[in-house]
Amino acid sequence: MNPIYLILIFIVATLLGYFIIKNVPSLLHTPLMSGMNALSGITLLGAIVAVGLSTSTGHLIIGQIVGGLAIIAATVNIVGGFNVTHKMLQMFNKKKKDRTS
Amino acid sequence: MSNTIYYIICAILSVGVLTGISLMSKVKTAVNGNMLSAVCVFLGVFVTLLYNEVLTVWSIYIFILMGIIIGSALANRVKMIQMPQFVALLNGVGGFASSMVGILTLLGVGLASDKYPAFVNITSVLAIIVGNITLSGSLVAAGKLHKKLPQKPIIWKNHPTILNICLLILLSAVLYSAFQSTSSEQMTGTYMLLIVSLTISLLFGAAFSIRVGGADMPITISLLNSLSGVAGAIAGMAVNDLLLVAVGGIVGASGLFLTQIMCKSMNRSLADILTGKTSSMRAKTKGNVTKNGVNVSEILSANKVTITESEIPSDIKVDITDTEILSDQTETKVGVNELSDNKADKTDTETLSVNNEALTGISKGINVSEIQSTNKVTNTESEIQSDLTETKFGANELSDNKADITELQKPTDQTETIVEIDESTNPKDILTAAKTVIIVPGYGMALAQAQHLVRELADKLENNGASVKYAIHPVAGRMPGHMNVLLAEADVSYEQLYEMDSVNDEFAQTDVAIVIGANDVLNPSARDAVDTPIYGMPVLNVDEARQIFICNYDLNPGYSGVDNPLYTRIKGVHLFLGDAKESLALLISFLS
Repeated sequence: MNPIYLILIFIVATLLGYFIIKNVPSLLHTPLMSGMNALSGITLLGAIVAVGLSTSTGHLIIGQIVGGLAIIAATVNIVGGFNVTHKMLQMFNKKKKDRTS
Repeated sequence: MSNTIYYIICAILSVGVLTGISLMSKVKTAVNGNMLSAVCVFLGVFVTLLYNEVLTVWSIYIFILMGIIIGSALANRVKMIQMPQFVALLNGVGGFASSMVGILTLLGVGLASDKYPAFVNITSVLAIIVGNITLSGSLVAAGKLHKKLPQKPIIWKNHPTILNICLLILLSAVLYSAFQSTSSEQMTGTYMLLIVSLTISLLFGAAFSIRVGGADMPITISLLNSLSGVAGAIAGMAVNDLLLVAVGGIVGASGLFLTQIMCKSMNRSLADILTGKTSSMRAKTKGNVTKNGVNVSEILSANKVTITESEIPSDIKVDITDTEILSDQTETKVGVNELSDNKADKTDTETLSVNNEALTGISKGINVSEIQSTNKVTNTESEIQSDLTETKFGANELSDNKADITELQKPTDQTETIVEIDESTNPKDILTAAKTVIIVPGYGMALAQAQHLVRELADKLENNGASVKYAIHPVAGRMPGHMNVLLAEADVSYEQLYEMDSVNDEFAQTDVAIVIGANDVLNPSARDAVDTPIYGMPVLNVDEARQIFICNYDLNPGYSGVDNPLYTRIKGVHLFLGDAKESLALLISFLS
């Protein structure tokens, strides 16, 4: 794909994201941040491609090691981020009657 | 899978992620929004596996499984008070992942197309650089937040020079990469490029982050959050992955937006933080001025005198040997008038302590605890004489009030002299009569782990017929929105949590404002003290409330180093110093 398109997509996504995120109340900024942590783990896609293609392009060892590290790190982000965000959001939604704990 | 279908799916998933985020603007839909984003990411992984025809590479699944195990273990262990360092850590891990992808593309591993080698090279190197800056910067930030590293800004010799040189090298590395071919004959050049950008960017990130003080951390984390997204987006450009570019851009925007908010509510400009003008440095300069000038506030006619002196900066020479506290001249009489119809209730809490360890060697404490006597004239006088400070504090007699003096002495290395006698009705009556209460929690509450007691107090007040609201300043806590999470953890209903702008006008109609471990965010000086670092910073209008209860550890200025005039105000201010838990327990006991 032409680099111009990629840069355009980046700009459009950034602007769209900015205006949507503006509506998130400061009440939820911490979950928003941890959610963004999770989303930044989307690098997983790039890592998967690299590891997957390393088997056919003759860079097997470096692809597996470096790519493997990337996959692990990105997955930690995705799983850890979404998990913690979910935990926090559920705390906000706790009913008053559960207060005994 | 054809390209067109792949692009369409990517577009749908990007919209899905955006929808997920927009669902996060309401508490009720936020859980679903988070789920939607998670599902989109999962589908994205699946689509990528399909599109690149690598479904059969089994090692991918093993790595993913390892990531899942580590990720969920981390997520299950983290406590809410640790969220800032957790987010910082994840920022770093995200940056690391992006930089790894950058390395792979630079080395030509897993490259889908090489129609634009210069673009791929530049973006790869950029991904490595931004990713590594995020990594080392975040690790340092997490270390500071986790108290593994000192909170204070660490400034190396020639710090700006080091940063500038690093930046210069990194820029030339990016430029060089544009002309570097990745063909196998020139691999040495590529490796050199790789090593240089790796190490220098790591150094740059650490050098940048270590200079930031503890209170500026919310801004730093937000910024690094943004960078981790940008690193992902750049890596996405390198590997030609639409979804990565789009989502990375969204994350970058989010971090940038939060950075903006934080800067605004902390009255800092981003440029100041980037160039290392940390607020504590400014506070120190400011501190020097006040300390050189007037050290003592003498309000002899007032019922309450507060003399607060924070640390004496090392660059001011205090001639300790000449400093003397003439203990034999110090006379302390504390008597308390007691009305016959008032029984042994605790009416007032006071702190009377002279704790002077900053002027080492002379540590003199005047501590009076629980002295009750009938029909005595209240008179507290003590004199501390030194060539630097002269302190006089007298408390006027009260003929119709009873005071019970409880001493809450805290070993601090600061000089602190507080004499306060409240002239109005006693706090218990005020609290039981209050119909509208606003609680102002600060990071001090979180440090004392007092949020559950705060909720207990709020419950008692509500049972007593009062309406209770929480006023949350945007920078309360150590990251954006942190205080809300901490209170939500203590089962405070989010409907009671009000943002500063929506609650600020209500203070004027509020019977009691209860401040717990907050300082700068309610300092009225921010409105008029032009020369202070907090001037212009939006603050909570706590001073407009009819009665103010302040449960702080001590009366030292907050992180900004600016004295809070509320502490010396006589009318309607009740100070409860010491551990927030104890102060809150006292307030709760008023209501039971």
